[in-house]
Parts: sequence; C-alpha cells; structure tokens
Amino acid sequence: MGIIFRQIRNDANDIKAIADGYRTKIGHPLWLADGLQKDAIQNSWDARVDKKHGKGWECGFSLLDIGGEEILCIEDWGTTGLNGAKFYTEEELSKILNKNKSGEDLAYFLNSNWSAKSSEEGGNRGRGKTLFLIASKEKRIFFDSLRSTDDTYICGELYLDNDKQIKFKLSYDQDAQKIFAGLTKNKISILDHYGTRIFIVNPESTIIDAIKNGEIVSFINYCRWETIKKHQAKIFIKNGDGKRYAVLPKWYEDKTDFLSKEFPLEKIKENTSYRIKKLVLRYAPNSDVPEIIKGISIQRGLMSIQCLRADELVHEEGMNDIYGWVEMDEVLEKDMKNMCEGPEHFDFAWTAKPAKYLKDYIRIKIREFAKELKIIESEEARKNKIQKTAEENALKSLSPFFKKLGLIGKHKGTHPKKPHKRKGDEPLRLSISDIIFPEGDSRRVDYGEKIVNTYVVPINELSDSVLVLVRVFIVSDEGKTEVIEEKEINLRPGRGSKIGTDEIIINSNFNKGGYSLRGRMISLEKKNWKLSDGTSIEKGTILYDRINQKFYVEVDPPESGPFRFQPEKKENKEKLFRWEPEGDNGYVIFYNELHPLIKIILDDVEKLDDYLTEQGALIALQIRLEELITEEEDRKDIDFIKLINSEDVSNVWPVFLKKYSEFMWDLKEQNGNKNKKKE
Amino acid sequence: MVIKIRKRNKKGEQVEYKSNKKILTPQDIKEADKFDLFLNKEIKEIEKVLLKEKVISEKGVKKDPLKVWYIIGKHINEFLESKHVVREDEHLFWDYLYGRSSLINKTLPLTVISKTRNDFKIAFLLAKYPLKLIRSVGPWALWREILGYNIFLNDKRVLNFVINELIKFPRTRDKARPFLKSICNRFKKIDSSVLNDKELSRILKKIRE
Repeated sequence: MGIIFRQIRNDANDIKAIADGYRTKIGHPLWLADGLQKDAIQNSWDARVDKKHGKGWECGFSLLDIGGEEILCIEDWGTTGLNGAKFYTEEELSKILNKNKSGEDLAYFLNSNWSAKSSEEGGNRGRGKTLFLIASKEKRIFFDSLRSTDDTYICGELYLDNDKQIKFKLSYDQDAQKIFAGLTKNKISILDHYGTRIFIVNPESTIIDAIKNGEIVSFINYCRWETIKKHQAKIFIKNGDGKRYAVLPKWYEDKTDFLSKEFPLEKIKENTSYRIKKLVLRYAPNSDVPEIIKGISIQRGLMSIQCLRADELVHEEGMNDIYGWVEMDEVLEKDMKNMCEGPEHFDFAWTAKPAKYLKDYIRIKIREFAKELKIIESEEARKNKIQKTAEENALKSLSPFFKKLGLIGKHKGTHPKKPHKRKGDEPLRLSISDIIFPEGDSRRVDYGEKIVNTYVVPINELSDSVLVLVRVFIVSDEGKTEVIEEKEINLRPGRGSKIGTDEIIINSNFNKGGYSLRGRMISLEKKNWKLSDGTSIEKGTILYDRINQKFYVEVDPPESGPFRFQPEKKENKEKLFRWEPEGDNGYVIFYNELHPLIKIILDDVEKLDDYLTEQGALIALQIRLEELITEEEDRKDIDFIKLINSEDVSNVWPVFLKKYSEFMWDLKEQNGNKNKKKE
Repeated sequence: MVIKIRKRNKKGEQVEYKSNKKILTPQDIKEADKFDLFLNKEIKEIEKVLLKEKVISEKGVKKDPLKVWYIIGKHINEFLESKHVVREDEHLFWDYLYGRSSLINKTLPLTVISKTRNDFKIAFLLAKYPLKLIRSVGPWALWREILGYNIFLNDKRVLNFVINELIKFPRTRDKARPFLKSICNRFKKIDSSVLNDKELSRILKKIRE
C-alpha cells in the first residue's frame, strides 16, 4: 500500500474550460454578461421563499464604486439566504457535500461541480458559481447572506489563489460583520433582509459595457420573459443614476396583432409519456423580429434555454417570420433537463431523446401552421420571386454587354470614378493567393458549398525577423466579427506557415448576406526600422491590413451595373418599356406587367429572363447612344463614332442590330456551353 | 432593407426608395413604407418628449442641446432594438433622419454629412452612457468632437481614459481638440487590441504628458 494523495487540480484551467464552454454555446461577444445574468437570476429564483408565486422576490444587478474599485453587486430579496449546515473544517464540509442532501445551499454555493437541486429548479450542474469568478478580472468575489432558518449572518470570499486553486474564506455572525466592513471599506451596510449578495470584484469590461449600454436588460427580457409574465418578477439593473427593470417584450404579450395559434396539452410522441403544455406559434412578417428570439423558444423552468429557428426546421419561404415558444409538462421538462440540456443551460442535444421527439413535433406543427396561413408559397410570394429572379438573371446576362458598351452608370458629376490600381507589394505582407471560391469568379456561395484555402501566408522580405500577431477573421455586413485564427509568430525572413483554415464550409450558421474574409498582421514588438510610409514600429503597429476577400452567402453579389428593372402596371397600349435616369446611380427600366407580351410570361422565370435580356440590350444601346451624343470625350466605339458623325438616322437600326446580334450570339453560345457542362 | 426618402424640389415632394439593392420588389417597397411609418411615428414621439421636458422651444431652439440629443439618442436606441437596419443600408438610415422634423433640425444640412459627424448617430452612441456621466464630461459640442473619432469607438478603454481626463481636467471643445487629435493620431496605425491595460495606459499617459 502506498500513501494516498489527493489530486491537486488546476482550477485556473478548469475556469478557462468552463468559460470556453459558455463562450461557444452563447456565441456572441457579450456571452459573459448573458451567461452571468442567466445563472445569477436562476440561482436567486431557485432560492425564493414563495415557491408557488415568487411573491416578494426581486433580484438586481448594481454597478458600484467602492473606494475606486469597480464592483458588480448581485442582490436578491424574498429569498432564503444560504441556508444549510454550518461548517468549520474541511472534513465537516466534505461530509455535507457527500451526503448530497438538498437544502445545503451554503456548502454547494462554495464548491464547484456540486449541486443538489431538484429537476424543477434552474441549475443542477454547479457551474454557475464558477461563472461569478470568470466575471471578475481578478478572479475574486465576496458575498454576504442572511439566513432565514437561523438568522445567521455570513460573509465569505471566493478567489483563485496563486497556486491555481480556488479557495474560500467563510465567517459567521460578528466575525462576518467585521470582515464585510473591511471588504467594503465601511461603505456598504450589512444585509438587513433574508437573502444573498454577491460582489464581483473588478468585473470584466464586457459586463460593464453591457450594463452601461443596457444590453444586459435585453438579455434578461428575452431570457426571463415567462417569469416576468407569469409572476410579475422584478429584475433590475442599476448603474449610478437610474434603475431599469426588465420588462415583458411585446413579442410575448398575450394580446398580439400577429396571426397566432396555440396548440394545447398534447403528446409529442406516441407510446411515450412526453407531453407539451402549450406550443404557441406566431407569424410576424415585415416586423423585424429580433434575432435573439427568432424561432421557437424552448422554455424550461420559466426561462428560455434555446430558440429553434423555424427556417432551419422547415425550408420554405417566410419561415424566418415565424416565432413562438413551447412550454413542457413535468415529465418532458425533467428529461429534457437531465438527459439533453447542456451544462451552461443554453442548448439541448437535439439528437438525444426526448429532444429529438420535441424537435420533430415542433417541425410538424410549424408546417401545419404555415399551411393554414398559406405562408408556404402564396401566389403573390411566388410571383414576386419569379419576377425578381428573372430580373436578376437578365441583369447578370446583360452585364458583359454593359461593360462592352462602356455603360458604367452615370457617375459623372464632379468626382469621376478613379480606375482601381493595385498598390505594390509591401516587404512585410500577407498573401491569400490560394483561395478558391466554388463558382470560380462569382463570389456567391450557397449552403453546403465551401471556400477552400482560406488561409494567409505571412511573408517577410526584410533581413530582420519580427514578432507578429496574424489574425484571420470574417466580418459580416451586419458588423459581426468572427476570428478564424489568431497566431503569434516570430516571422523570419522568407515565407511563414499558413494561418487560417483549409476550408470554410458554408452552413446555416451563416446568415444570408455579405461577408469579408480579412487578414491583419500586427507587430508585437518594437523595432528600430520603419514601414515604407515612415511609420515607426512598436507593439500594436498594424503592419499589413490589405487582405479583404468579399463573398455572399445564398445571395447574389449586389449588382453594380447601371440598370435595374422595375415592374409597373399601365393600361396604356404604348407602354411596353420605359426608362428613367436614377440620380447618379444609373437607370430604372420599367416593364409593363399588363402588356400582353409580358403578362403571358410573368409566371415563367426563363421566358421572362430571356425577354428582359433581349429588350434590355436594345434599350442599353439607345441609352448609350443618347449619352455619347452629349459626351464627346467618351466616344471610343468606332461604330458609334461613325454613326454619330454620319448624322443619318437610317444608320441607327443597322448598328443596333449588329451589336444586338453579336451580344445575343455570344450569350446563347455561352449558355449552351454551361448547359452542356451541367449535363 | 429599403429606405423611403422624400425629396423636395420645384415639382414638389418626390418619393424615392433607396437601398444598396439594385432590384426592388413590391415587397421591398411595402416594407420600406411600413418602416417609414414607424420611423415618423417615433420622431413625432421624440418631438413630444422634447417639448414636454422643455429642453427645446416650439421654434426649435435647443435650450439644453446635450439633453435634447440624449433624449433623441435614447429613442433611436429603442427604435433600433425593435427595427433592424441592415448594415449595408445603415448610412441611408442615418442620412435620412435629417429632414424628418423641423423641430429637431430647423434647416436641412447643405452638404452631405459624413457618418462620423451625423448628429443622430452621435446621439445614438452617446445615449449608451448615463446622462450624469455625459454631463460631467462636457457639452454636446465636445461630445460631437469626441465621438467623431473612430479610435474611441473601437476601444472602450481609450474612450474611458478620455472621459476620465475630461472629468478631471474639464476643457471646452476647442481646447480639447488638440488632446483628442493627438490620441487619434497616435492610434492611427495601432491595433490597440493587442495591448494590455498597462501598455495602453503607458501610451495614453505619454500623450497626456
């Protein structure tokens, strides 16, 4: 027999791992504020005195300044305080924890990965308290609590020590009062009601920002709306001059103008006992439903755990405008929590049972709802889609013709467009020359496709090496940034190794729209030489920032051509097409939906596309001729020069026909080749 | 997203629909009309609040410009929380907030307003801070100057430094300008995200010296 040792854990690494878990699951820059509010409120709600109605319960987050030290205080009312057996030694504590009895709030609060909460309660993994430490830059919190069972006042401090171990100090009654006075520099009086206060020392700046700009209130509103709605729960944020209470977002009010359907108590799967209490679906077109609540919110313990996007469940037009929520009955809620819910309470494992049953059930109900409302492929939507696609396709086909004619939009004014000239290579630079888009020259990328070689290669053509940070990231047109890889390297003369990824697979995590794949090289040290523009090099200097590869997910790149098509309805027989200049942006070509030539092909993408392309080409010739008559300096095309100089109207049609014929020939030949390739 | 705009010229009022999209569908137009209706409703609401708070006269004279713009900023923040504007069309949204209320802007700007000088955008950013703190830094003119620099928007630590400095050593807009400019120039070629608090603070303190 050898000596038995207790394993020394690296708590610092555990904290980091738990933080990474939250960051990944929550997936937005303010993840810490969002995770913190969810766990802190849930812990407080679980400790409420009035379990049935939460009467008298209140919870608040206040930003305090205690003697120049920034502190976030989380305080509650109408709760029991940290009840449970008192302990004075590690042995006593160990016995309490190992009994796994409920009601030992004090012992469980102070120890990670221990919890004896029931399934009706919010948390049960014992991770929430670690989040308090994560929230502190110093990894230090202190707390006080007045216990309802024995009126004991307690005060304690929880911190990550230099030896990477999480430790805590705890004292009771008068000792606790003295310690609390010391910790708060006598600026805060001791707790005068049953409950608990947690003081996060020097909170992370993202939390302070989220409190100051009110974003944390939005998180609370959307996470806790059911608690607010059913129990009028009071949750506030206090920052210096004012208190702001969380409110019920209008989207979840009972009274709504949106088309809504409620599915009552129902089994979600035959031969099981899993039932939902209620599923509510609402259709809110053109209403800009906030991203955070898009989809069906899965409610558990009166909070929103995750939203299942309707457009990911049912791949039809208009699904993006459906939102709602589902409330589960006791059995389903219990198993969803114990068998499927992630430890951070932000997601479910949807492949596990009963989550899979629930997901399938919601999918069926959404389809049923959409069919009832005729959202799926309504006649109007279908028609709009056909016309829009035909217009876009026609413009795409016409684009080379516009280029050939020199039609680049008006863009004349006092600021002529400068031709793009690539800058010369910098001696310190990044190269992204291997990148390949799925459609070659086109920057459109659809779901399931991938962009390959999405890495940069750092190049150093100087004789000295330099310590740099290379960051490869994606910025969406909506302003969201996601870092793909960030690496510190000592860049020696020559080419460095690849930074980034071999491929980016476009999946539904990408919203439809434009993105930029960017790369930046930043110096991490001071150097005594300068960049080519004379900039001195120190830590933080941007050495290279010119990588910018634009791509578009599930949408075509914006048309930069000089035209756009727009339908109109005119009874006048003379109106088939007309066009109008549109400021400096080019021309609008109106086509008459009521004209029999067009009316008959309005529901046929290909025919409408062909017709708009052919007529668009002729109109483009007319517009270009008109432009060239007034703009002598733009005359470069020999046919047009001869035509204008001849001042003979009879020459117009032959020139037009020649150019039209050439364009249509090339276009048809090109389309033919494309079709052959497809076959 | 499409923004509905109204232009006044000799022919009277003309309505245009602007967007980064070249092709507009009837659905786009319908959405733009709806958005426009909401926005005008919000502007009317702001006008009511400004008059009620007595920070502006019926003729549009701003008695307390900082509070006026703070109130406007608060409302825009709330409006944008519920009405999403896509980034590509954001500039149109900010540009065409001008001209919607003769109480807020007595006259239309004669030239194009750059996005860093747009009063509504500045008010939107300003309203993310408590009014008390904003007041202690300085007047509206000074805030317009501060929030016109990108570095203060990109790194909150730098903005916090400026706020603290201006609270400690209050300055008028003109007197603060060289100080703000020197910070901006210093960070022109620097990505401050790689600097820790200590390193950043060293640079900032040097500027102060």
